[in-house]
Amino acid sequence: MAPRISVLTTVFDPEREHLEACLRSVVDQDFTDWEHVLVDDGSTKPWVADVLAAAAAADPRVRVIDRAENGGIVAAANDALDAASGEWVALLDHDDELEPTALAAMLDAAGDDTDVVYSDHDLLRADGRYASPSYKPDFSPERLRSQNYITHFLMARRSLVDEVGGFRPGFDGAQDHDLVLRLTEQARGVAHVPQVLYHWRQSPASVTSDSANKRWAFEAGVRAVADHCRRVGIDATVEHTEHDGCYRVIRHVTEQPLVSVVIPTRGSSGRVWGVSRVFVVDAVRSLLEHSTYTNLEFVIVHDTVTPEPVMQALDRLLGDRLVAVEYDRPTFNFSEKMNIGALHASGDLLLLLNDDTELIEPDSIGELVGLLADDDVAMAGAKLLFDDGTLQHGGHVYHHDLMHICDGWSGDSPGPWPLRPLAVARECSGVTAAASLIRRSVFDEVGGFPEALPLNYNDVDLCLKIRDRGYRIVWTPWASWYHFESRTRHSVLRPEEYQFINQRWHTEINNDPYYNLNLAPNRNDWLERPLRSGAPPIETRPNAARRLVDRLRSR
Amino acid sequence: MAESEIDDDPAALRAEIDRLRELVGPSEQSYADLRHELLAARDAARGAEATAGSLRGQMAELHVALDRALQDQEHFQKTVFSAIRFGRRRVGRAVRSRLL
Repeated sequence: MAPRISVLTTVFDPEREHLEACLRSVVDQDFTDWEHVLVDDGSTKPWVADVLAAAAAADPRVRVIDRAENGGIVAAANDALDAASGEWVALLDHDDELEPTALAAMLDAAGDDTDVVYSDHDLLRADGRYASPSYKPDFSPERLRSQNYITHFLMARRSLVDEVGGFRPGFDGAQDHDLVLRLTEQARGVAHVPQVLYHWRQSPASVTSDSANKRWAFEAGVRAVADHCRRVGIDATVEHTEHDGCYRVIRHVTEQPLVSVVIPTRGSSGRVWGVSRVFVVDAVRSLLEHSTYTNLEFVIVHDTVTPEPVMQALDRLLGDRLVAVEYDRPTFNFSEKMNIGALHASGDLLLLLNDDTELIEPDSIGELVGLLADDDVAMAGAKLLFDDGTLQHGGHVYHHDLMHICDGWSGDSPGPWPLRPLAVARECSGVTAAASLIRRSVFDEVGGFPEALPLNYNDVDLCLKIRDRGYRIVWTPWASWYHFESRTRHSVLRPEEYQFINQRWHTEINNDPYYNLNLAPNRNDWLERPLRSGAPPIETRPNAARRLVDRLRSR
Repeated sequence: MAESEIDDDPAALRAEIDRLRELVGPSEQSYADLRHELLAARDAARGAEATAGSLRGQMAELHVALDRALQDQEHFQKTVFSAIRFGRRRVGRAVRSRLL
């Protein structure tokens, strides 16, 4: 009878003790209905064959296939796949190790409609200690295009792996990324086990420790993502970014549908960088002068008290592109103002924009429009920076509190290692309404902003309503504005607003699918719960302290 | 004066010119220079803010590393101390039972 799981391992000249540890970690599994298919890809070290033969002799579930000569990882992996007889196949590198509960936990997570399962992993340092756990989000397709955050431990139905054609030649170094992209395109369901079940050995020749040696792997990654985009109908160019293993998908926006920029304002002025500015005028001017996306309509929802010269300045700047809507309520209600603005907008896309902003990246609106080209993406958010360049908004996280990810970090930081969430476009539970693009039809479908929340959390409610309808929300670092937050209005937190959101969305704000339950609650910075952090992989990690010292020295 | 308040009356227009001249000063070049200096000052302020922000950002990252170390230390200490207390009680009990 065929086993439930075939563990596939290609072997080429590993360290002896590493290979033995790898083999032992499979034999020691709690779950017993497995086979371990090992393909010796022409190893030159003579003891490799002996170790594999001994393992096969000791346990009939271990099967060894010899290749006459080295054919590379893709050819060897396909040989392993051909030989596998299990319902599921799981991928294990020849020097990595599994937790004893790994196979059982993966199978537990696999429902009838699940075709792909992955777990969290960490690094296995040269000194034998575990380090840098990757506590991953649940399935996040936009993020998977931007980085192979899944990597290990990956298990998929054998039938699906066959259907997509197994490993593809020509993608050596990124063969895992290429495979997981093709698998998830076809999978009925993708499950995530939020446990570290896989220990990825950090060896000198591995991508995990020396990315400079594997530039070719990232080039293969670019091709893998570009092919994926073609298959799923995304018209885009793919580039490798300055951050290793992180890609940018630049969607080609061939048409420019009308975008209605909805800005609530009371015409306030203030000082930024030592100079006075009229916020709404400068926000509009920055779009007019710098945005490469030009088909814009400006719906300015202005309080009655807005100074007349401000409206005149807007009129001069915008001409017939200005839709001025007077808001005459005595008290400030952001939600109501935005809903009124949306009513007066004529575009199918609404750019929700605070008046205390200034465009940074000229292609920002095109980037957001491109993301909304995917039918199931309803809203896209931007990177927002304070006037000192620190991060104001990198997407929301709802992890026992409602937070902005990594606020206060450097604006150019890729974010916490190893997943570097600020370096990639990715799904989020929510994004701020201070600068985000939303499909007009979805805005109407969910009833717009909740007018019961005049000051706070109105964007949280909007986002959760959108996700509740099955849409995705994506944040991108490639669209960016300065946000001189609360220069125009002092922030007032009202307990009743939190109560409202907590009652309506209690489950959602305590279970963020794009965060991880192994991370400390009430934190927005990927801080692990105690003693799950391990030590940093000191050989490679760009160190914040070192960067600070280098910076100070360079002055 | 707001634009809407200016009518086509030559006297009013002249008064407005005088007001603007008063704001600009006798030399329009000085106004241009002033504006140039203002923009230079803005850029300097912006650069200084960015430098401070960069340091603040790195401090934020260091705070996370520090929090990680502190929480692990606290957790480790709790584990070790409770093990020591447990061991000490057992040893004490064993010693007392022998003495008695």
